[in-house]
Amino acid sequence: MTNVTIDPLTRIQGHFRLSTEVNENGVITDAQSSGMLFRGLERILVNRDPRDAARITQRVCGVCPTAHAITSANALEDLFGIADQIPKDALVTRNIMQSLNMIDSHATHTYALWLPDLVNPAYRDVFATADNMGTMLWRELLHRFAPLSYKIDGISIPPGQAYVNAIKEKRRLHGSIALIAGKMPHQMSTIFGGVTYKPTVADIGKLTYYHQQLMDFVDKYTLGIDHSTWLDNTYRASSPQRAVEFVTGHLQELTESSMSSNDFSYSAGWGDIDMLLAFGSETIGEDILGLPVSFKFDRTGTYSDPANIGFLSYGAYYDVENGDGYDPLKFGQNSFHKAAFITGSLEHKKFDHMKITEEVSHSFYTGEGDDHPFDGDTEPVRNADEIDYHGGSQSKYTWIKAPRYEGVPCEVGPIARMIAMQEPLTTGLMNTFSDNGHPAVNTYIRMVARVQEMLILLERLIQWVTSDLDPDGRFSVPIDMSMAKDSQGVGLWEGARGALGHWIKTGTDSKVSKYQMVVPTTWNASPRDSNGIPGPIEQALIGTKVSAAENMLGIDNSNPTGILHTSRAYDPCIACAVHTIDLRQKDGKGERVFDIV
Amino acid sequence: MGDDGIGIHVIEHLKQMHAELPDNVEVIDAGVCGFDALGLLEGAEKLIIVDSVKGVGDIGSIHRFVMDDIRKATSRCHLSLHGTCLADVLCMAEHIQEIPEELIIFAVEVDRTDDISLCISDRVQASLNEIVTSILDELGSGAVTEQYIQK
Repeated sequence: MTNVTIDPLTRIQGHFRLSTEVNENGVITDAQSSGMLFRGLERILVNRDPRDAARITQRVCGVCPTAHAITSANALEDLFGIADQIPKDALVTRNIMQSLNMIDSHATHTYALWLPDLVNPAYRDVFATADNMGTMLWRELLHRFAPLSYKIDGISIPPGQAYVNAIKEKRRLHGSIALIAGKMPHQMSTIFGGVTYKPTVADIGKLTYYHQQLMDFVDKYTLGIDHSTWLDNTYRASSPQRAVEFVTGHLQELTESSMSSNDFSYSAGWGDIDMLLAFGSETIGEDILGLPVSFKFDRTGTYSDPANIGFLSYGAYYDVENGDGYDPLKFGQNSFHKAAFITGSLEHKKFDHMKITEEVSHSFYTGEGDDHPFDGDTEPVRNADEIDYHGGSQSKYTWIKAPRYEGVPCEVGPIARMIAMQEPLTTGLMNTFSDNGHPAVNTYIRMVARVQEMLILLERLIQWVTSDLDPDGRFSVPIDMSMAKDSQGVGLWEGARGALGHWIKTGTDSKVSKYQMVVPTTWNASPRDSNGIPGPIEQALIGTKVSAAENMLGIDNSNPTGILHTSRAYDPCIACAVHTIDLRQKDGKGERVFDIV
Repeated sequence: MGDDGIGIHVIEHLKQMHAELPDNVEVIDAGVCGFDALGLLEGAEKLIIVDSVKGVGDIGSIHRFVMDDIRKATSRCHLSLHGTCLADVLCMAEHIQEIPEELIIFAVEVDRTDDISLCISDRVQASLNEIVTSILDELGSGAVTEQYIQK
């Protein structure tokens, strides 16, 4: 048994430690996920004017502050009892900002953080087993996905074409959000009651132009075919089976024309998603298409016990078809992204936020029991000696709490949302894996779901911009501070990485008495609970083989691709899941005490 | 922050004398914005960046780097969106957009960066005038430098 620890995990956002045990067969048998920092934002909000929340909670991180701004506004609108009055055009504006942020985040994760994993040197050797085809494919992967300042064996590799052009689009997306939100990150527009800025006709024109440029990138690099054709045959396919047939048919054509020439370039028709879809999966690539080699991502990051995992989506994007207002607790029923709890056996159930609890038996907090976030506390342990990341799975080992839904750990994010909305390509591919005797949810489907969600949202976004937004409409409603007395509010929404909830309570002085945020990476990177059930990333790591392509070329614990790919596929963002401490040496007694700053 | 805030202290010095800076000079606090800084690197003829550096020389010493030095830099932090370093941003900018023809980085050797403080240490504080003078020299505004030194 070998301990393989990655600390910090790179190409994610924030500070994340993964400690694993790997057996002599190269299989991960145990895993602990540790968030390395304490998040004190909730304590900052106590005793403040509740209106500050939509400004302050955004500061948790610069990656998805838009989602925190809107979730916080939702919680405040529930608290003040004005959610049913929020003007339609304010809701449309928020939908536009959120979708831009989600697309930006997905594009960044896919191109800048995850696809560079495909050019890990281990795959040069894996693909070399497929002779000339493998060598040509490896060159093409480097040409597309090599990150900045990349070296293999001391030789500099220029950054990949897709990588560099995606960063250009990321810049454009940030600019687009700033155009209507004041700035990005940490926007100024979303406040409870509406938005502070009315997008002008000129803004709509600019957003439309930016969108066109984004779609040029998508058609040229991501898809290799026109996006409408892609979505007509996948997202709008008449059944999951038809969606898979379209994709496998498309990949079959590409494969047939490329196998003799060994040309896997963009000009040969291979979009980035085609590369991922064909070579990422053993079932699709090797078993169905007959390719000689694959990354086998569909065999990693799976869950072994359906009873111990669920998939959760709170729903997002306001339904703007019916005019003003929304119901803070029911909007997931009609929204673009649906609210749902899906069991590990993929059974859909109605979502009820009262079934959410958080506990801290393995986290560096005091408190017992499973509290609903309305009753939750953020009380860190006070003795610095208790903060030990090496204590193993029986001890406290992380700053991330353990959220559960009906007692079950849940994966959140694109895969949960795509299952909740029964997206045909995602569910079709999952069926394909199940039908072939393999787990339906894995690293491969997580990545495909993220790209597919980005494509679907890009299409929806432009409808909000050009059809739904009326620049002459109303954008806010007045509020009365007295309405915040002795009240409470729930804000449910979806950040790029998954389900995001804010819960607020106020006292007789209308000030915040409690504020709790349960964020996407808290769900995904959760530690064990009091029953010893590991969190989703921990479960996904356990059983995964440590080295490239299912240990195809042997075990290499110094390049644990299985840990890297599996955990990164969740797009972990630790800043949001945790925050900062000031560790101080106190007096001569050798007792260390820390203050929260 | 502590000494890591050297750039902000330089900006405050420059802002105080804003009226005396040439009209075509813009002073920007780029924060810690990583790739978001890409938008700030465009449209200038000349760009002067002030940042902190550790482990190159004596505390308070000022190093002048140009783009070529950045290109040659061999060790680079791994890419995390929260850990994108200045060199990463500049190299990326070269790949995706126009960058100013003249790009100068004044890197100030700092001491403490883990203090939760808005103050900089004495030895870094002592270099402040020299940094500002160097910037003004780069701007070629000798008259302004003269006025500044007299103050």
